[in-house]
Amino acid sequence: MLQTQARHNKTRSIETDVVIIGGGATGAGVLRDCSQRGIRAILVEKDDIANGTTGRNHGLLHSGARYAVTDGHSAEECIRENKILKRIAGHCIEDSSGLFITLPEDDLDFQKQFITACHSAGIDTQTLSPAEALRVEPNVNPALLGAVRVPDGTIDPFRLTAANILDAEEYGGRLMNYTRVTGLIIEQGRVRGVHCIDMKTAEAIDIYAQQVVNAAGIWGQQIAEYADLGIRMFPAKGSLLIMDYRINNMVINRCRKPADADILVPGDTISLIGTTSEKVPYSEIENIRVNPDEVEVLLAEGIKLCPVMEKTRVLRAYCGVRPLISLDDDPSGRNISRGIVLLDHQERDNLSGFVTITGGKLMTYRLMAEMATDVVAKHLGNTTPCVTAERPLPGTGEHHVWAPQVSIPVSGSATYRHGERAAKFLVDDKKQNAVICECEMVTRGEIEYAVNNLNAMDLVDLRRRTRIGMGPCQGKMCACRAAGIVSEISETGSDEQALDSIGEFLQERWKGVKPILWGDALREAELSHWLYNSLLGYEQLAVEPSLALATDAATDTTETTEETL
Amino acid sequence: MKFDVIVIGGGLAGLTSAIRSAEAGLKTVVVSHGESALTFASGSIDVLGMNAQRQLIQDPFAAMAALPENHPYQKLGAETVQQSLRFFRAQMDQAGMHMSHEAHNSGRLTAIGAIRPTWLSQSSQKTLPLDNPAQNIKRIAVINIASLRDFQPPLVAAGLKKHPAFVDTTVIQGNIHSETLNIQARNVHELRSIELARTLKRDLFSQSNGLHILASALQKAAKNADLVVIPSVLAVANGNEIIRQLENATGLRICEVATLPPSLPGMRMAAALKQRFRELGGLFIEGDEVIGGEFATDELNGNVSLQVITTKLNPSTPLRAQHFVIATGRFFSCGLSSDRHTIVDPVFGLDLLKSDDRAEWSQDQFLAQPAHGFQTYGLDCNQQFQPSKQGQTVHNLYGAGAVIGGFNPVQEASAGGVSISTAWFAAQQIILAQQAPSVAMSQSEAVIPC
Repeated sequence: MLQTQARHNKTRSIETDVVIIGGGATGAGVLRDCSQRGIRAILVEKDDIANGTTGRNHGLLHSGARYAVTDGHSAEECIRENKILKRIAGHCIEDSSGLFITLPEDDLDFQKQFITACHSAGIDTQTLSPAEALRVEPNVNPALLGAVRVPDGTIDPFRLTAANILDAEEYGGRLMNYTRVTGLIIEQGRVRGVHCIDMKTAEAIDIYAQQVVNAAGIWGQQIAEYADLGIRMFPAKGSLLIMDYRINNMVINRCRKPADADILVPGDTISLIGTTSEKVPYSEIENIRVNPDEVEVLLAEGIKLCPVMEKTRVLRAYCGVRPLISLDDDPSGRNISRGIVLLDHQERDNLSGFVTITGGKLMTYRLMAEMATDVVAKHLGNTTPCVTAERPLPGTGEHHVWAPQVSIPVSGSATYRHGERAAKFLVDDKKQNAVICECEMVTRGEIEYAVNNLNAMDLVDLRRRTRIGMGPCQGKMCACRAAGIVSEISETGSDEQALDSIGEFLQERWKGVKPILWGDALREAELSHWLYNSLLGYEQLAVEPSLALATDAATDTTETTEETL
Repeated sequence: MKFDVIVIGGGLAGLTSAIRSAEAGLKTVVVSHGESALTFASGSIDVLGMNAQRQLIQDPFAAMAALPENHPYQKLGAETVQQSLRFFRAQMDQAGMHMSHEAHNSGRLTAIGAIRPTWLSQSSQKTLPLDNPAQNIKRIAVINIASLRDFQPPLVAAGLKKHPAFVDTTVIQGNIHSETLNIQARNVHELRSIELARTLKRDLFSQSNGLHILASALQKAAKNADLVVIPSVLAVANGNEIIRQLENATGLRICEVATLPPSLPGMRMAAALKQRFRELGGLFIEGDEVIGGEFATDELNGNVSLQVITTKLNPSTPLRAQHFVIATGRFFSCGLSSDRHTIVDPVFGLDLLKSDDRAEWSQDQFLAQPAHGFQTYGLDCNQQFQPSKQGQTVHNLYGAGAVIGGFNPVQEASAGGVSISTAWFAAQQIILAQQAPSVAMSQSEAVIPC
């Protein structure tokens, strides 16, 4: 997409207080925190928000119970943030609660140890008999020996990140997505800002700031290299499968030490099983994919949690990279930390104006943002306290938004995704209320709202804001409709870009379908391929049209050809 | 119940086979699961439009010789394919739907402005010459009707502009508003093509001046364009006739383009085929599904044949016939089914051309080249298109259409031609066998001329 012909000779300059690198939940949280403390801040993200690790995990709102036995400190952090997020991010969360089940192959004695550890971390538990567990969760493996109920839940990472950005923008913060950092501006031993390039227009941009926050997750190693700082990441790939139906109401964990593929998380209309864990070389982080053996492990383990999974359609597979970090420049990876890592490079490396926040979990994104913003505020001399744990995010309002002649599933989906902000687009207008994605009940108004208010620039971005194309048909019916709308309302994009974005969108969907291409997924893929390449001739648009020369063999059939004419 | 011929599958291949059988006086039944792949088809008949180098083929019949040995067209020969197409056109004429062709393949305009090579077209589908699609066209008007969601004029325009021939062509875009057409719906912006057609029939074409209202709106929107492109939403059955009347009223050249499903030109073809089959006395069982059959081995010659089939809705009433045609399509039509480990024919468990290594089923790029493995999977048939079961040829069963393996309907632009020719061929074999049962079982018997 980098248009070389559009290279600008002049570099645009922008000035602000803080530049944050990385549009994941943590970066969005820092932008929000800075903005609420009255610090001018710009977030730069090379792709779209929540495109990295933030958007590629379980979406599990941990109670901390999973870590209670092995890592009490993380467990305490989780339960504290769990309670905060339930308060401030209601529309991103489903308070489903969770079960830790013991299967015949597990040790029931572990349950006692687990309950004790939960209690010392401040996590409420309720012990259920197998019959009680089956009553609240009918699809759970009926062979279970026991279950413990904990305050786990689910969280939508896309919605959470978008809500943080939206809130930050309302306090004056600014997002620059599709803007890649190409270097740090370092003057007199101090970081003064970042060199960037606009990935859509190839424009060079320098952003000057007093503080730069590296919240680029696994990509933070590259950012630190711009300052010759050694931060070594040890990428660990995690793969997950999405089921086409919601087969469980509550999060289901195995009551044992954490292992592969032992969490089943419901989410909106689906369920997902994960995760595997596999070390990958840093050079491979852009090329990771779900392998067939991971698919087998995920299904085999998932079926133990909910046997009905055996007969459930798998919708997609995806994977992400955990940003595990090795401190003290240890190349062996022995000293890996799974907790939050905050590096004030002024103290650590004598390089002022630069802070790295990494490690941690989606669950602790707000706490990480608070910790990073505290350091930044201290250096800026800003003493305004952090209020991100008290002020609710936009959309958290409880009430259902209604609109004339909009069916309850449509208004319900809109409210589920956008809370009270759904009122911005569910209005008395039939054109705006027309459903564009029928699988996920996304209206034209919601698409326009996501483009105009939530920084969505193309179809793939739209999916993260609205769930468009995430249902059983994987976008085959709505891609053209949405592309037409985007090209209609977008001020910058051309019709040709809209046409190209259909192929990019379907390719992005295909990446998740290919590893699980059997049964209904293969049926849908065949239909989609037929519609786009045969009925519409999409692939031909990319090929310069040329006529085949008559072959030598043609002479044999010349007579019969003439006969038909 | 006992028939001469049972055809499993009611799509293009199944109906073509059934029409030929019924026309020859054979007692024929079609068992159809429901809507066929024609609902997703353009309503044109592609025969062979693209070669392995992605070049556009002008003469499909000449190009057949270059296809792989196992390709259905190689087994049939170009002459048989042409015979079958002549038969098909004659039957469509009987059903009141004229389909025409040029000396070469023509270009069919798609709803994203691409040009697909095709052979037979309906009169509402204005074809463009493949070697110079912009011939005599300086201005194109792309006009939506009632803001249909499934037709996007900006995408048609952008697609056209990607073709070098249209660089200097002016493309204007427009929309005829639902208010102009006086149509009422709960939300007119949510109508699908078929619902819009029904609404237009009820609210607009029922009025004596309905066609006139549409014609003047079209004239106003299209100005003096040399070609007017509209989505196919006006009507299912008489769509070609309405376009003709509109052209007479406006003096414009109007091209109807199939939208995302349902495709009305495809449904129109399905309706015409069903009508023709019924006219010939055929029995069409819709909404039932063949779930299996009984095979027998002849004690004298060891030949395997299919005896009866069982359907889902009437499992206690097996259907008996002398001959069977399997035209069940591929994955989406449920003619093939798959799980994590393998691909099967779910009806009879016939032998397939396929791989059981899932890594070979697909490629990394979804729409771009190279082709996915799954696109050529299907029944492994002999030269007479008889499939086999555990290596044994089933002598009274014939494969027809997409369920046959060894060809790529999308990449070759060959779906319609393979369906029609293999279906016709199957019926010819059956007719021959009925006339001379003792000879029929012989492998050496060739095709009889039409």
